[in-house]
Amino acid sequence: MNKVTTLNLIAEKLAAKANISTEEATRFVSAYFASAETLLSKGRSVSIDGLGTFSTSGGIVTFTPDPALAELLNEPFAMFSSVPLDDDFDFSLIEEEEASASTEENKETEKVTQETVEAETVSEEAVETETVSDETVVPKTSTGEPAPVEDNRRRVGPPPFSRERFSALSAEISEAKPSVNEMPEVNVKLSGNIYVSSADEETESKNTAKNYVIRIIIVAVISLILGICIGYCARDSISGFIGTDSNVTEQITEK
Amino acid sequence: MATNPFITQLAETSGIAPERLPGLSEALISLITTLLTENKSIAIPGFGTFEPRKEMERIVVNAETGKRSLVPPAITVCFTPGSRLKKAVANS
Repeated sequence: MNKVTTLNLIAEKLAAKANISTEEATRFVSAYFASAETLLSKGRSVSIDGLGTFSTSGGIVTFTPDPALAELLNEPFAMFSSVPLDDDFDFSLIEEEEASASTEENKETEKVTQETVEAETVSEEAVETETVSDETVVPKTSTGEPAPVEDNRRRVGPPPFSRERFSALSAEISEAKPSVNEMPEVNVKLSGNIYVSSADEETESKNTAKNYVIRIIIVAVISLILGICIGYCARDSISGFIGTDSNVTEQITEK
Repeated sequence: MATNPFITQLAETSGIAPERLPGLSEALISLITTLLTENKSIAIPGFGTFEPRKEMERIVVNAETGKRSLVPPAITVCFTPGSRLKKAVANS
């Protein structure tokens, strides 16, 4: 991951920076760290301004970076500070989001997306029977949300025998579709608390929503074909139900 | 030990004029710092390796209060002593 810079490369860069020959720079750098080494071997700690402190304890060298260096290195994360979590925080959610976590996202842009997402969800919450306002409640509802959709699919599984029931079921499926589309927004709302690129999250949840819609359409088409096939195969028994008298239809078919 | 006594020690070991050493030392430190911020590790033969390491965000539990808090990601410099330095320090 990290590119290793060797002594030669450092010497070259230092030579260009300080207007000295590369040989001299190499000698300087090696002498610099050699003298640090001799001091350390005498049991003294060496502190270099802007770099850090080397100290020995029990024959082990420990390095503590200079606060200035640590600050400089942490510049990309300077806007972050540790956030206390609620007691009933759902940790399974973090594990999910860690997979797609990209920490270089600016917190400010996240805040903006969080606000817009909240604005969107407010209108949906009004329509939905379960209103979600508290952030701590969100994990439970978002994980519970897919369940009814799966229930619908399971009911479709065994093919319906009557057309009335089939049309009722397909109507149910088409009703279930919009609720699937609402899912991504609920998920995205969660990312506000955690340092996660919300853009990635949004596209991911959009993809899952697309998958759900595609699955439901496939199930609907398969059950429609099955229904037609079974209806065709069992048209005699069905016409018995529809007709007033089974004998009459039998007579008709005999004729 | 502060930088200035360190430089006087350095003037003895290297054949470079003592008055030029502070400037060179500053240039070296700023060079190392910029290399580290560019996410590059620096290997000094015999002495050791400086390596910037990124720590992911993590949850820390305060042992006293039991409060959990989310600590943001950070970059830390890890120094791995070289074999020569390890030996020199261990023998002292």
